[in-house]
Amino acid sequence: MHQCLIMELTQEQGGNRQSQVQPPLAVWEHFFGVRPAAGSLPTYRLVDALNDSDPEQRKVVKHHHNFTVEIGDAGPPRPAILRMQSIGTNSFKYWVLRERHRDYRHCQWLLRTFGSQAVNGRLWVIVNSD
Amino acid sequence: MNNDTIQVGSLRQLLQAHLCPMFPGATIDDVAVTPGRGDDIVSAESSVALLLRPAGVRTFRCRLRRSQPFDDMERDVVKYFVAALGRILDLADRPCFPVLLRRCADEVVARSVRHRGVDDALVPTLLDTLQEWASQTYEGNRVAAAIGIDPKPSPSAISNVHIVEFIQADFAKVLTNGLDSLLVLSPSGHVVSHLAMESHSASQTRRPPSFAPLRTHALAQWAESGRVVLALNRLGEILVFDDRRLRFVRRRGTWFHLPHESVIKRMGRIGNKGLLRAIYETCLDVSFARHGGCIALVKRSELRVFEKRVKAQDRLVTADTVKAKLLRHCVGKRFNELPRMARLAIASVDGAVVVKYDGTVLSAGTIVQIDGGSSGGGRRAAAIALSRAGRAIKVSSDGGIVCFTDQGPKDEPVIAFEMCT
Repeated sequence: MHQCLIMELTQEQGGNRQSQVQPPLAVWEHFFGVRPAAGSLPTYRLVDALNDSDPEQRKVVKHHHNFTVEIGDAGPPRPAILRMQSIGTNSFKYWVLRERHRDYRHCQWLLRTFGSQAVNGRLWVIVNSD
Repeated sequence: MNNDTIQVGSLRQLLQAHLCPMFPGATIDDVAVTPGRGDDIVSAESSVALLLRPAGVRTFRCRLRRSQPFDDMERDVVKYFVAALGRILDLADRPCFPVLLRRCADEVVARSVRHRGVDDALVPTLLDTLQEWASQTYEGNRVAAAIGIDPKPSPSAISNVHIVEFIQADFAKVLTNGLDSLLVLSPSGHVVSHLAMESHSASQTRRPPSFAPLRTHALAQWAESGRVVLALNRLGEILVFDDRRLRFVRRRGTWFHLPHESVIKRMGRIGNKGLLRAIYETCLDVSFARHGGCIALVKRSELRVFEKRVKAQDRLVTADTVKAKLLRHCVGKRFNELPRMARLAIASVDGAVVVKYDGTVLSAGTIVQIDGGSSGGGRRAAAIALSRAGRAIKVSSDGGIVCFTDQGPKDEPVIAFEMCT
């Protein structure tokens, strides 16, 4: 069984750093397994499934009281929804869905129906899938 | 009121016992230093003295001092150690403290070689695994292995197989041989490739790295541009390479840091840099080959010491024994002009190699005439006797390296450096 994260992408770190994604702490803990007090931070293998690119190597970085991870295709434009699936140890496949993508509306519905809301209003949900 | 987690005497002892061995010739001053402003756990008082103040200590600092300047890399090693120590000092009176103290050294090694993009848990996981394998066998044979981390692998080569998914399996122990085959991982810990080093083009064309044992040249050469190699040999030693050099070795359960340039400087100013480097390289090679050896370097003014300690028939110039004649024929060049393998071979012959200040090999495989009543083993006694001529380096058959100088009492000369002892 694999876990799947569906999460709104915001302006993130702003400016030209929108691809430096900062999920809520609850997402870090429940999806990525990274606890707030973590002294040791992982590096992930990320595969952009939409663009069928070669794996990216991305280190999780502590940022104030949270963490960020660079996701290659997560730059502008917005709105956008990140769908991420665990495919192995420290390995994830992801899709950055924009409004014109066929799965965007479905993910948007999942977020609005089942999603948790972070302090900044960002919606997210974790789904277990086979 | 003293709210320090530990008293100055105890901290001094800990640092002397666990930090100083990493830096040959370094000591902790007897007298503590008053605390300065700021929160730095390590600050440079001068190029040769560092002030240390682990977390939990507020009212004093300890001074780490040696005769050679500390370079940036060495200051980082000290900082990592002091930081790790500070995190466990409040457990100093617990039974678990010695175990935690040993883990400090593991942490220092891992942090010292970790590229910033690499998973924080990857190097510690690999070191723990190699330590486990060091006490295991595979089909009756000791395990040897080598694992490399490439911070910038070709993206298309990064598999979806993570090291933790198979590292506990038995077959993982024989994937590499610890000398010239290497399992390469990405920064996330996923397998990139399996390299056979003899077919790797770089290992064939470039000058061998100086600061790595001869047998491990292929691994050391690969460890450049941020790459790291962690290797386990059949003696149970763990070797850590980066920047084309051997940086750390874990021998008999203890981590040693190898500050190569600093050690060569401590050999003094007899002969040129090339000669000193060649002698050092050979000592490294002998140490890791576990042959045992003794190499002496004779000053221009002290040839009479050589003549007193080595019989005429054993000197290459007047060779009268079969061994001396053969070695004279095979040597034929200055010590630093000989191929490194040849230097290892002659240094491995039972007896001492004696080299003149200009690189001329005066004798090899020589049984040294020592004074009666000498303490210590024969090799040590020979090195001490020859040290009167300049410098004499004893390499134990268990790998420790000690360099005796011509300073101090005859039977207890000043030691220039000790490594891995």
